[in-house]
Amino acid sequence: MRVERNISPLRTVAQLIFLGMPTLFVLYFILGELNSYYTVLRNQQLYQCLYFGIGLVTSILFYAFRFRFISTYIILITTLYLIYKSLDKFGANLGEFDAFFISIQFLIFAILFGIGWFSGWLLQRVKYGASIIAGSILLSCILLINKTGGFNYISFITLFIPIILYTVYLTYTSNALINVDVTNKAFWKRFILKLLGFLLLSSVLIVATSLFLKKEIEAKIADAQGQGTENENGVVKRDKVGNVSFSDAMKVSAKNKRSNELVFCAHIENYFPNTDVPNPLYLTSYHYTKFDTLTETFERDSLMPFNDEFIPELGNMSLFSSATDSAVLKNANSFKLRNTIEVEIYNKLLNKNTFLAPTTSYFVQPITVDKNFQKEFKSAYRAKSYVSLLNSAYFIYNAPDPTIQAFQAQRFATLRNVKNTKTLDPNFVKYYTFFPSASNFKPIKKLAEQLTINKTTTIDKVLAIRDHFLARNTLNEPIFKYTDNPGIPGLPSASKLNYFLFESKKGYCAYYSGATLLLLRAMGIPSRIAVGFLSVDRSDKNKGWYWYYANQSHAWVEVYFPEYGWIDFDTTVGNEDAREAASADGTPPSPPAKAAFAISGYVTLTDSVKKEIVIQPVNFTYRDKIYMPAKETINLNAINANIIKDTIKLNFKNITVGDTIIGVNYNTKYFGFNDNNYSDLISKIKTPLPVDEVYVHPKQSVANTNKKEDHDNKPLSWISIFKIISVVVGVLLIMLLMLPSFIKLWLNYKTRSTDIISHYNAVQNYVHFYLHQTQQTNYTITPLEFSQQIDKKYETSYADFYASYMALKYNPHKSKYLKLQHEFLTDFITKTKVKNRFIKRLMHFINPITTFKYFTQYGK
Amino acid sequence: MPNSISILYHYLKSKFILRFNFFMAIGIGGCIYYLAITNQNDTNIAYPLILAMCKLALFALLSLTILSLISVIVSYIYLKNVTRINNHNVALSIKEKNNTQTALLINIEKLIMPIFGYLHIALTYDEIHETKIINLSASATIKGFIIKKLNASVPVYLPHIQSYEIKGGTLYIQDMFHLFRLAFDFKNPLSYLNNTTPISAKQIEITPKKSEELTIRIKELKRVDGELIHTKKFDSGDDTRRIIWKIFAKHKTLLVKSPELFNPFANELFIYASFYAPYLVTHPSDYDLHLLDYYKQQISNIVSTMEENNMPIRLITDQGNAIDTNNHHKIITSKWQANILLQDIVRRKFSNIICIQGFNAIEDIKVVLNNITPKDLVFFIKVSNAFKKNIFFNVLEKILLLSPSDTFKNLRTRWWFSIAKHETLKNEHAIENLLQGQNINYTQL
Repeated sequence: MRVERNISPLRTVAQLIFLGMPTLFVLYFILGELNSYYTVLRNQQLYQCLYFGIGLVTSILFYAFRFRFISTYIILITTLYLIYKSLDKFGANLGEFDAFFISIQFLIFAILFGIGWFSGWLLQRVKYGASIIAGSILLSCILLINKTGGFNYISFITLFIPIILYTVYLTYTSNALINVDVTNKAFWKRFILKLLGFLLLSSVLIVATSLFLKKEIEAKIADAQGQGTENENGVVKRDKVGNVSFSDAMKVSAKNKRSNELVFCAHIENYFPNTDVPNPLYLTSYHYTKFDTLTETFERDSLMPFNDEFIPELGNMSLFSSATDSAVLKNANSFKLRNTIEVEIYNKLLNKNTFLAPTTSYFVQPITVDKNFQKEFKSAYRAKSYVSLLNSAYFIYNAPDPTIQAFQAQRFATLRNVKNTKTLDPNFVKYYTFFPSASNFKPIKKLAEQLTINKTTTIDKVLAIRDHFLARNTLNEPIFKYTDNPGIPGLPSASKLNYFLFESKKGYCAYYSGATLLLLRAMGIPSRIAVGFLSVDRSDKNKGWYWYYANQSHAWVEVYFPEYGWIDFDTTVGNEDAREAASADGTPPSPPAKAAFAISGYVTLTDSVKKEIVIQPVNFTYRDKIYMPAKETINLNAINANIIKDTIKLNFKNITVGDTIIGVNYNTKYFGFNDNNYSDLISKIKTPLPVDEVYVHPKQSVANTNKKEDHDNKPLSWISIFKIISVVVGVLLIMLLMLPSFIKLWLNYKTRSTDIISHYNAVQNYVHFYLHQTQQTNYTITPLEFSQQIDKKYETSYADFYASYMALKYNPHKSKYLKLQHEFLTDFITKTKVKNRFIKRLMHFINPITTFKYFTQYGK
Repeated sequence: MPNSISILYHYLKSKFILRFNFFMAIGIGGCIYYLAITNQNDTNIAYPLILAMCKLALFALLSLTILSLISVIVSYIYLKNVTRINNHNVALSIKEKNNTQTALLINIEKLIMPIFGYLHIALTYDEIHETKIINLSASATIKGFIIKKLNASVPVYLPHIQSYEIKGGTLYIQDMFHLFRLAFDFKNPLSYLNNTTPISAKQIEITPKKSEELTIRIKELKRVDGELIHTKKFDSGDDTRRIIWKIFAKHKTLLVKSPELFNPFANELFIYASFYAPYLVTHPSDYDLHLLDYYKQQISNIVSTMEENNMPIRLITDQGNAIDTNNHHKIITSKWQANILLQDIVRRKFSNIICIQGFNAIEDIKVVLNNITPKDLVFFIKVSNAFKKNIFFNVLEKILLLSPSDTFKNLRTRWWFSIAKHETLKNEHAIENLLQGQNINYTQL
C-alpha cells in the first residue's frame, strides 16, 4: 500500500511550529488549572501535556499523508480501549493497587492522546479547525478560571490576557497559512515579520482594553471574592433595587457578608399547646435537594420526587385572590400530629415573587397593608401551612423556658418511635439519600459511621450529629465555631466541606447544613436543605410577631420521618449576631381586617352621582374561596369606599371605563353564608355589591407595566426567535420566487408608455425577458434569425417587430412613421400562453435563478 | 439548472462581505454572552468573575475586529478611488517563458493593504465564469510604506487546455481574521492560452527521419497587412544593405529584413496529430472538452519529451495553422473537427510520429498505416482514459485512504452510463485490433 503525501513537509513543519506548539503551551496552563481543581489528576500536569502533545504532533504528521480521518480515528480509539480493557484484565498479576493505578494512568493517557489527536486533525485538515479550537479553548478557560479563586487585578490579567492573545493568534496564523506557497523563502521572511507585528498590535490592543476596563474588572473581582455588596449568604441574592430573594443554588464560599436591614415581619399563629409561649417556626422559601459533586454546590431540582414545594406566582396575583396547591399536601406525606398554621407576612425588602412560609405551605392570599404602615411595608400576604406539631425553631439553642425544654424531650421521645424508612418509596429514598461516590467524600462517610456507632433510631443519629457540632474540648471551649469568613482552604483542590469538617471547624450556615446533609445521607437518612429565614422570638410585648433582618437568612436541614413528614433540624452552632436584633422590633402592623369578599373585573360603566361602578367580573373571592363569576356585569356600590391606586387615594371620577379594579368588603355581617354558588352568594349579599375599598389599575399602565416586565424578565426564547426568523425567511423566499413575475408585470407596465422609443424598448425588453425566462435563449444565431425561429414556433410576428425595433434603434428619427405595438404584444402574450401550458409557465416563472442570469449575462 | 445554481452561488459567495470566520466569531461571542446571561440568575459566587472575563474577551475581540473592518474599508475605498482616476491602476499582463504563456502578471500601481490583511484575486473568463480565488499577497512583491505598489504572478487555474478570453477579475480585500471581504471588480481583456501541465513522460526512443535540407528563403514577401512583418531590429553585424529605408523614413527606427532562415538541423521530427472526431462534433456533450484535454495533454507530453532530447520538432495538425506557429500554441488552440482526415495531413515522405485517437475512422487509419515504414512510430491515444479513475484495488485502502483529488467526479459517473462512452470504446477497440494486426511499431497511451 503506497501512501502519498497530502501536504508538503515544509507546510507540516509550519503547522507544528506555528499552530501545534502554542496550542500545547496553552494546554499546559489549562491542565495546570484542571489539576488544581480535581484531586484525581494531581501533580501530573507535565505528563498530561506530554500525552496531549504526542497525540497532537503524531496526528499532524500522520494526516500530512493521505489518510482518512474517521476510519483511522475509530481504529485508534478501539485500540486504546482494548489496551485499557486488557490492562484491567491482565493487570491482576501486578497486585490490585498497581493494576488500578496503571489502568487509571492509561485511561488519562488515552483520553488526552485522543483529544490531542483530534485537535491535530482539526489543525491539519479542517479549514476553520484552528478557529474552532481557539474558540473552545477561550470558552473553557472562562469556565475554568472562575473555579479558581484568590485573584487580584494583576494576577487576573496575566492569566487571562495570554488566552485571548492565543485565540486571536491561532485564528490569524491558521488563516495566514491557507493557500500560500510555503516553498517561497521570501514568504517566510514576510510571514514571520507579519506575525511579530500582529502579536505586538494585538497585545497592545488587548492590554489597552484591559486598562480601559480596569475599574470594572477590579470591582467584579472584589464582588466575586465576597467583598462586594452582592452574595450576602451564598443563598440570598439581591436585585438592582436591593430586594432580597433566594437563589437556585448554594455554594460554600470563602466569605459571607451579612447586613442587618429589616426585610419583613411576620405574624405566626403558633403557640405551645395550652400556653401562650410562642413557638416560632422557620420560614422556608426553597429546598436544595441535589448536590453537584463537581462544584460542591447544593441545587434546586424541579424534578425532585414527591415535590412538596408550593411556589405561587405571588407577583402576578391580585389582592385577595388566593392560590391553593393540594398536590403539595399529598406529597408531603405527613399524617400524624399535623396542624394548620396561618402566617401573615408584611414585606419590606423581599422580592415580589419570593414566597416564605413554614413547611409545608399550600395556600396564599395577597392582602392589604394598613394605610398607616404602607410606607414601611410595600405588600403583604397570608399563607397557610400544614406543620407538624413536632416542628419548632427550638432545636439547637435551648431556651431556659421549662415549656420549651419539656417540648424538646417529648418531641424526641415521639420521634424515637418512628417506623423504619424501609417502607418508603424506593425512588424517594434513593433520591434523598444520594451521596457522591468520589473518593474525597469518603472521609465524611467514615465520620458519619463513627458518630452513629451505637445509634439505632433516626432521631438519635440526628442528635449525634448535633452533638458533634456542639462538642467541647478539654478546655470547655466549643470545637465548632460560627464565622462568616471561614477562609480559603490551603490546598486549592481540597474539598471545602472536608476542610470545614476536619480542619478549620468554622463556618456559616451553608457549611453546617451542607455537612449535616452529607452526614445524614451517608447514613441513608432522607434529608434535604431548606433555605429561608430563621425566626427569633425577641419580643414579650407582641406575642406571635417576629421581625426578620437580612442576617437572619438561613439554611438548615430537613429530615424526613415516615408519617410525620419533613421536620426542620438546624445544626448551625450559635451565631449570636443573628439573634440579636439590629434595632428594636417595631410596632406590628394592625392586624388586617379579614375581607368578606373581593371582586375584580373591568369597568364598563361608572355613575358618579350614585357612586356606582358597573364591572365585568373576572374573579370573585368569598372568605378565601374562589368562585367563577357569571358572565353578566355587576354593579358595585362605592359610596363609602376608599379608592386607592398604588398607595395614593383617588376620587371616584378617576375611575375610567376599561380600568381593572378590585373591590373589597370587610363587613363581618357578610361572613356567614355557606353557598357554593356564585349567584346565590351575590343575591344573599346585596346588589349593588357594597365595597369598602376599591383598588384601581388603570388600563394603560397595566398594559405598559406588563410589557415592560415581559421585556425585562423574559429574553426572547429560542423558539420565538426561530419562529420570527422562519417567518421572515419564508416571506423572503416567497418574494424571491415571485420576483420573476413581478419583473414581468413591471416590464409589461412599462410598455404602456406612449413615447414611441421607450415603448419599443419596453416591448423588446418584455419579449426578451419572457423568452429568457421560459428558457428560450439565443447564443449562436443572430437576433433576427432567433426572432424568426420564435415566430415559427408560436406563429407570432416577432421578427417584424424586431426589424422595426432595430430600425428605430439605429435611426430614432423614424419614430414618426411607427405606431405603438400593443397589438403585437397582446397577440404575443396570448399565443405564447396557448403553447406554454400553465404548469410549465409557473415552473419557469418561479425560478429567480434564470432571472438572475438574465440580468448578469445581459447586463454585463 | 445546476449550472445556474452554481453560478448564482459563486456570484453571491464572491460578493458576500461576511466570511465564515465572522459567523464563528459571532458564535463564540454568543456563547460568551450566553455564559454571562445564564450565570446571572445563579448564586454562583464566580459570576462577577465570569462577567469580567466575558467583557474583557468581548471588548478585546471587538476592538481587533473593528480595526480589521476599518482597515479593509479604507483599503477598498482607496483602491476604488485611485482606479476611477487611473484606469490602468490595476493591470494584467501575460508572462511568457520559452515562447509559452506560463502565468499572468498583475501590477497594481497604488494600493493600501489592510492591516495584516490579505489581497486575493479571482479572474473572470468567458463572460461569467470565475477562477478559484488565489492568495495574491503571499507571493507578491510589495513595495512602499503605506501606499504600496504590488507586482505578482498569478497562477491561472482554468479548466481546459484551450484559448481563453479573460475579461478581468475581482480583487478581494480581506482582513486579518478573514471576517470581512470586499470585492473590487476590474476589467482588463486578455487572450490567454491555457497550457498543458508538464508531466515527465517516459522517454520515447525514436530515430528521427532524415528530412530534406530545408532552407526557407524570403523569396517574395507576401502582401500582408502591416509593413513591419518579416522585419527585425538592426543589430551590429547585420547587412546594411538589408535596412528598409522606407520604414526608417516613416518611423525613425532601423529595421532590417529578417535574415534567411536556414534550418541548421539535418534531421527533423514530424509529428502528426489528428483531431478528427465526427462523432463528437455531431453529438456535442460535456465530455468533449475533457476528452480533448486528455488528448492534448498526451500530445504535449510527446512533443515535450522530444524537445528535451533537443530534437527539432514539427507538429502538423489538421487545424490549418500557419507553418511557423509554435508547437504548443498549435496544441492549445486545436479543436475537434470533422472535415480533414488523417490521410490528408500525413505525408509519407516526412512521416515520423503519428498520433491517432479513438475517433479516427478505421478506413482512414488503414490507408495511412499502409503507407508508413516500420521505423515510424504510431501513438494510439485512448481518450476514454480521460475518465479512467485511479480506483483502489484494495478495500482496506479505500477505507483508510483519501482518494486523490478528482476534478470531474460527477461527470465521471455520467460518462460511465453515457452513449458517448459506448461509442468511444467501440471505436477504440476496433482501432486496437487493427493496430495489433499490422506489423508496425505502435504505442498505446
